[in-house]
Amino acid sequence: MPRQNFVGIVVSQGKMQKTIKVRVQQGEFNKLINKRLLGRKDYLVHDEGEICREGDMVRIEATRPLSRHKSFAVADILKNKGQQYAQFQRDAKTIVAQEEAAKTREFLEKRGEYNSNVVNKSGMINDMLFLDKVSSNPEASAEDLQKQSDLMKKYNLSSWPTTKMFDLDVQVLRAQIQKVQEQVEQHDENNSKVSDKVSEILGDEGKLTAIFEKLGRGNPDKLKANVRKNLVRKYVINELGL
Amino acid sequence: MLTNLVSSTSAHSVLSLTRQFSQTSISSGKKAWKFNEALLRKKANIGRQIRIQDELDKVDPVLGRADTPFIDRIKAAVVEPSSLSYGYERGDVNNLLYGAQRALIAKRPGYSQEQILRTEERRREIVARILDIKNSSSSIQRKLGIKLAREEFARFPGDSGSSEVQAAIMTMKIHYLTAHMKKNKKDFQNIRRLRMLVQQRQAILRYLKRDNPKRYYWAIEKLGLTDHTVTMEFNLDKRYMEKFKVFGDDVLIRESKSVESKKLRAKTKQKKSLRKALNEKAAQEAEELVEEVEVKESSVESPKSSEATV
Repeated sequence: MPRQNFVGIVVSQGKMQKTIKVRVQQGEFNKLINKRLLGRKDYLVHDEGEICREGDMVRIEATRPLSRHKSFAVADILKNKGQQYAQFQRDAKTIVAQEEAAKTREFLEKRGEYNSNVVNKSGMINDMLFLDKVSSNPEASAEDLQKQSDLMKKYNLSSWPTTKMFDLDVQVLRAQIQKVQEQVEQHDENNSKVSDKVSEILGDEGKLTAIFEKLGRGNPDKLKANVRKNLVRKYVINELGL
Repeated sequence: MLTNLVSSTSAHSVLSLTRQFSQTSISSGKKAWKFNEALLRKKANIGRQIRIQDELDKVDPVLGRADTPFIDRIKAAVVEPSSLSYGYERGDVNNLLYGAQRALIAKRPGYSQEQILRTEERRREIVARILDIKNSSSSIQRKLGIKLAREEFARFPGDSGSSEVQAAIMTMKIHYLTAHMKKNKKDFQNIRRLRMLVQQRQAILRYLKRDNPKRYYWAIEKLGLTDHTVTMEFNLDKRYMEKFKVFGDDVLIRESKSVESKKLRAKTKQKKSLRKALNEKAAQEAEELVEEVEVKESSVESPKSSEATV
């Protein structure tokens, strides 16, 4: 006689030595209400290698009684989802530690920069004032000129006085809008092309069956109208390479 | 009959002289040994269960692990003097203020530039004071904290709805609400809101575990939570408040006499076992020390003896 066999999910692990708890869900047809009722049962199961993790799907098999409450053992691990979870958990620790170290460094750098700005009374506005002063002064010293070029580099400026920082660059903005508009038009055009083709195929019986044969879907009449349409639509998009 | 009896006793005495029964004591029989082994195993198992449960219970299900770098950093960033209130960015404000100054200079050619600069500087100071995060209300600070958390958990720029973002936002709210609860013990409405928030966060994280386990473990690690605190059944009740000392050492639940005495007994038992373990350890250490000293003494003696042989 074959041994008793169940498939279940590991719900508890690591609390008892070489023992896990497996939840088995089984249904039973109730004649009275003419309906299948689900029931669960938890089994204590022997796990010799202690390799199962919470969330694994396992097949368990009856053995001789191993203790008062334990007469099953793990036969197979069908899905090692729990072991994946454990791996994720281990990885997350190192990833988060690295991430946090980097973020904290960034934070401290930002704080240091702000504090030095406060002490040196630099900051953006003072830099701009300095640029104003140097550019209006024809007899500026070499040191000042050097500082000026450094600041221009820092704020990514090509000339001074600049309009770049305070005014909108209308030309660039127009070009961007034009580009988006073209994309939208292209999209509309593609859509209409696809829908025309789809309606043409759906109207023609011969074409439809040919396509369904190609897709390996059998008789198109057996499917619901919306499913049929969706499949054809996907086929057309693929065919047109959109 | 009498003679019979006498003869039987004499026979017994003779027997006892000639044959000796070897009798094992009850405490060292095979059955007793087995029983003892089982007892020890059970004791060890119970000890392990208690240790596992203790380890799980250490993490606060509301605030998470103490010293979580993410939470600490966000809380520090909120009160940082470089951040501004009302959701303004420093770069934008600077641009605006400098532009205003330039516009003013251009508009009033007759005025002395120095005076304009001086008044503008004063204005900048005033604006800085208004926008200083330290002068803002707690709700603005909370909003800033939530914004920073959202930006860090977003899957893409502008993401405000993915599960981990929701969990991060709730976590920030929970931290601020807990601080409020500690100060306002009788604000039952907000305590209720906090309770609901904690359970909502659990629910969304449980969904995330199903949906994207990799991201889930990353999120809980970052928020300082554990898998147990997410999946456990939890209600923010007085028992929790007493355990994690939300209101200091206040006693919030009066136990019945029987429960109290049970707890006391368990405590004394624990103390006793601890003391026993410590004593055993001390005895072992003393033994080791004695051994060490003996070894040293022997090593000191040995050169003498070697000299003697030479």
